[in-house]
Formats: sequence, structure tokens, C-alpha cells
Amino acid sequence: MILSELFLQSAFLLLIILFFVSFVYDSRRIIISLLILISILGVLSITLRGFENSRFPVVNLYESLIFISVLGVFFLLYVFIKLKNIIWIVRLGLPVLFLILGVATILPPWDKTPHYLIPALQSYWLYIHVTASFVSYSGFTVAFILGILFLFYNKKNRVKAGNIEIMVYKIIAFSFPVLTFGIFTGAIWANYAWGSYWSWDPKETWSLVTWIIYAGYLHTRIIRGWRGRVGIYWVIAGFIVMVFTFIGVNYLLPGLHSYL
Amino acid sequence: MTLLRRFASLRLTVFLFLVLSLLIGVGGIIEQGKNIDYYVIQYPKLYNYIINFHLNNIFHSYLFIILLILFSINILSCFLVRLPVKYKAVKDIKFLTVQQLLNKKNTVVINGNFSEISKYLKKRGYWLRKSSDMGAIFVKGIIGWFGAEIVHFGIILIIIGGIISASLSYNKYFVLNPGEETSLFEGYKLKLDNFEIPLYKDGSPKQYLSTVTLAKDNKILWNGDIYVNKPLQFGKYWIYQENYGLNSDKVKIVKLEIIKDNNKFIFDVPFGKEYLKDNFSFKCSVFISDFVVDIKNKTIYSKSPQHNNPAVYCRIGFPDGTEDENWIFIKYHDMRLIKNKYWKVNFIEYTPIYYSGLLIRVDYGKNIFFLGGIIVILGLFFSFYIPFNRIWVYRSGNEYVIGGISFKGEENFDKFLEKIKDDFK
Repeated sequence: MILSELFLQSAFLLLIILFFVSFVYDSRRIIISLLILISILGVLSITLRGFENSRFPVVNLYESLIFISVLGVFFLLYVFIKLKNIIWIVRLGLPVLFLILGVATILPPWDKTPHYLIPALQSYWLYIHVTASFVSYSGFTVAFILGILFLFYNKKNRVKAGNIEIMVYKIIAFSFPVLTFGIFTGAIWANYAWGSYWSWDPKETWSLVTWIIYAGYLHTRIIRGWRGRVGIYWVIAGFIVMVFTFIGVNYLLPGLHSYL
Repeated sequence: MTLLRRFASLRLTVFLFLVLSLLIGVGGIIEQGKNIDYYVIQYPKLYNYIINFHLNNIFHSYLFIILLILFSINILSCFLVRLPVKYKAVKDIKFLTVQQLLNKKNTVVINGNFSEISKYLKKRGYWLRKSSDMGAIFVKGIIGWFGAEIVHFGIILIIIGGIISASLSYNKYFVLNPGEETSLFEGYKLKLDNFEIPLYKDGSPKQYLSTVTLAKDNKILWNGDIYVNKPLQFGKYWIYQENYGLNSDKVKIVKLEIIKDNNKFIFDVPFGKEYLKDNFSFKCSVFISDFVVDIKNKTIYSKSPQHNNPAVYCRIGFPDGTEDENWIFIKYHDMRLIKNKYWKVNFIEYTPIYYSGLLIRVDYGKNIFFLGGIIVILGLFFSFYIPFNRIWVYRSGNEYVIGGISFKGEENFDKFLEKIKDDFK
């Protein structure tokens, strides 16, 4: 087994262990330590994959799902520390990350095999556009997890729910500019690669829909102060659209982004 | 003003967000700009709706354009309504009463003198906005206060850039074979010196590489490579490596196999040239990529540009002094149209000639679009990461009362005021 896969599978195993540990020991220290360990293993796995293939390690669907999961662990770690010990963040967040990694592992072998970079991907914009897009996707995923948690706490514990809602806003306030940057750098790249900065390609159009949904959330929250369930419904809708943009578009709709 | 306010309403924004998302989403699902037959085959039950509601060309439909105009008006109105209000709030920043200041939960009371406090705040990025006998007002991060307006301005530029690109820009696609030249605009000429496809170890294409020479009035202006992600830019023109393909009527080398008894001889015959080797003479002058005979009209032609049935017309002189010429086929070795008593001729392989498909594009809206994009990103950064803080510093006896308001940075601002208290203990 190659080293990057070994690290990845170790991280995967630790995710499962951490999930069960979170039900047995409500220990902040153990959970934080394990999350840090998983993050390190994830980063090592991605970095090594880059070295093993002598190229940027986030090029196909398999690699991008792993990248998003590892970033998700970082986000979860941050949120867990900031929200001071809401154990359900881990209990709810880990299965979502587990699911993302699970999807990565059941992909057809062609999608998992490292390939050479096709001519369209040979650009330094790849690093910038792809990284920014996936950082935002990861942030939106964790915002979605927290959104679900908010609905769970909304009637039980108003204070916790309020803190969770603020964290949802903070994560989206971070991820939204990053997504904007990702879309914009994609437009610059498209101008170099395809001769047009915007082609109404399905990936582009659905990225725009994702952007509009989160812009809607931010407008209603900042201007109208919609902090309750309605705001969270925007976040959930944004996440569903984002998943479709990321995975659905690739498999269901033909377009220029068919490689990722 | 009332009309402007109505157009600036959040309700309209949310409505437009939802309707535009829906339309754009549908435009992303239904392939755009195909001919009607495509929709009839793909959507046998829905094609009527697709055509009648222009869902096959959403991004150019009146509905979409009207919504986009409405969206632009909404953003512009919002910009025009909010900007003066926000500007006034900074310009006419008011002094509070000491009591009003004391009522704020984050207000602190410290010992010290004004110059020390002023120096302390200035060191931390605050600047003195106003001062009077009552005290002074310090501000920090004004740009963050205008973040949303900057974003809106950037979006307006993006829309303007997009409209200019869609209406005034143009493309011209052209195909060149190696050695060919074409006239561009304003007397510019482009020659394709070479086209190649370097491969990776696994045989997949590494790059599509056109080596070109750009000239004007017989003067070479530029010579170099155009490939994917590296267009040639000269003035307002950008030339892109758009695609490539196999030439359907020319090849580089024709590989012929000549058999006598059990002996095989291979000849690499340059296409279109007389070639002599080992007492044989060759001239292969015509190539057809998808050979078809129209029996009725007695004509030969290529059914498609694809290389489905490659055939070459060659004249071959044999060592026994005889000569024959006819078509030879890669797929049909048994069809021996070239006759010789001793020798059998097979067409076994050929080196194709690739043509390069290049796209020349002039886009007048591009720079406005990109400028808009940069402004949007900066605006978002200012809006979310630069809080606008206002601090009032009033003298009350021997003490100073310090309080303030933060826009989008309350948590850190309260901590900052606490720190002031600690630092001046």
C-alpha cells in the first residue's frame, strides 16, 4: 500500500473510533487530540499523494472529496473549540465527513486512479481556483451540520441554539468571500483556457446559484436580522445546491468541467 | 426617492435571488442553444414547453434580460439609497452625552490624560475624527463600513462588463494546417509553422501545441507557441488553441508493405512526392479518409472527415519494369487493385497530419468584468473582516469615560475596551 493511502485509511479509522468515543467519553481533551491527529494524518495523506504523483493533489473527484473532508475536520475542530464543548458537533459532524469519505472510496477505479494533468488543467490557476472553491465547500458543509444542530437545539436550549446560529453566520461569512474568490479566479482561468470568462457551463451556472443562495442568506440575516429557523433553511438550501453543483453536475450534466 | 427606495427593497432582492436562481438552475440543467431536434429527442414530453418558454435559450430570453435589468436597478438603487446615509453617518458623527455613553454596556472609566489616550488609540489604527470641549471621537475601519456598497458597485461593473462582452465582442474560428497562413484583421497575418501533440508516458495528450508566426506588412511581430492556457495576446486580440483534428485529405507518410512469396518489405513513402528505393518507385498523391464510391455518378469522395476508411492513390513502379496505379485500402487488403505478377501491395499505416483549430477573440467587456470582480472580492473582505469602530472619549472630572460602537466586530471591540481599562490602571 502506498503511504498516502495508509495515512488516509488511518485517518478514516480514527474518525470511526472518535465517533464511538464521543458517545462514551465526553472528554474535550480526547476529542480535540483525536481531531488534531486526524487533521495531521489527512494533511500528510494529501501532501504525499501530491509528491507520489508529482502534481497538485486535488485534481479528480476522489482527491477533492478527501480534501473537503480533511478541511472539514479543521472546521469541526475550530467550531468544537469555539462553541465550548457541544459534543453533538462531533457526533453529527463525523458521520457527514464519514459519508463524504465513503463516497470517495466507492467511486469507480477510474475516478480514483491518479492521472496525468490534461492540458486544460495545466495552469497555476488550478491551485488557486480549486483550493478556494473546496475551502468554501468545506465551510458550507460544516455550516450545514451546525444548521441541523441548531434545529435540534432550537426548542431545547435557546442559548446554545443562539451560539450555534452565530457560528453558522461566522462560517458562512468566511466561506462566502472564499467562494466568490473561487468563482472569480475560475473566470480568469476560463478566460485563459477557453477564451471566455463565462460560458454558462452547468458548473458555472450552478456555482452562481450556490452563490446567490448564500448571498440571500447573508442579506436577510444582516439587513433583516433573520436569525432563526428561516435563516437556517437558507443554509440548508445552499448546502443542497452546493452538493448538486459539486457532484450532481459532474455526473448528470455534460459540460466543460467534466473532469472535476 | 420613494420609487428609489422601493427598488432598493430587500423583498425585491430576495424575490430576484429566488427567481434568478431558479432560471439559472434550469439553464444549467437543460442544454442551451441546441437545435429543436435535440430537444424533441431528449425531452419528448416537454420539448413544447422548452421551446415556447425559451428554456433552450434562457440566458438570452427576454425574461432573463428583464430580470437582470431589474436586478441591476435593485443593486443600483440600494447603492444610491444607502451610500449617502452611510456617508452622512460618518461625516456627521455626533457627540453623545456622558450619560448616554455610560449607558453603553462596554463603556469603561479610566485614569489618564487625553494625549496619552489619543496616542494609545492612534497607535492601534484609530484616528481622531472630531474633538470639542466635551471630548473626542475616534474611528477605525471606515472602509469596512462601506464594504457592502463596494460589493454592490463591483456587481454593477460585472453586469456592465457582461453586457458589453455579450453584445460587442466577437470570435472568429479558423483552421490551419502546418505551413498555412491566414489573414486576420488590420493587415495581420498568422502562419502555423508547426502543430504537435506531445504525449505522456501512458499515451494521453500532454499539450496541444501550435507554433505560429504573427506578421504585419511582411514584418515578423511575434514567433512562438500557443497552447491551452497560453493564448497569444496582441492588442485587443487574443488567439486561443481551441481544438485540433486529423487532416482528411493529406497525410505525412504512407507506410506500404510489399510482399513477394514470404518476404516482406516496408516502405515509408512521403506523401505527394516521388520516392525511389530498392528498384521500386512510388508516388502517392491522393488520400481519402472515409472512402466511398458513388456507383451511380461514378465518383469517389470522402463520406466524412473521420478516418473510418482510409485509402491512398499510389503509382508504383516495380523492379520487373512494370508499373501500375490505383487505390489501396488499409481495411481491405484483399482488394488488390494494383496488379503485379510477383508483388502484392498493402497499405498498412500512415502518419497523419493534424490541423490546428485556433480561435481569435476580441472582448471589450472583459476588463470591466474583472475590475468588478476584484472590487467585489475587496468589498467582501472589507465588509466581513474590517469592523468599523467608533470610540467616544469624554472627560468626567479627573477621569475619562471611554465607550463606543462596533459594526461587525462587537466581540473583539468589547475586549479592546476592557484592555484599555487594564492598560490604564
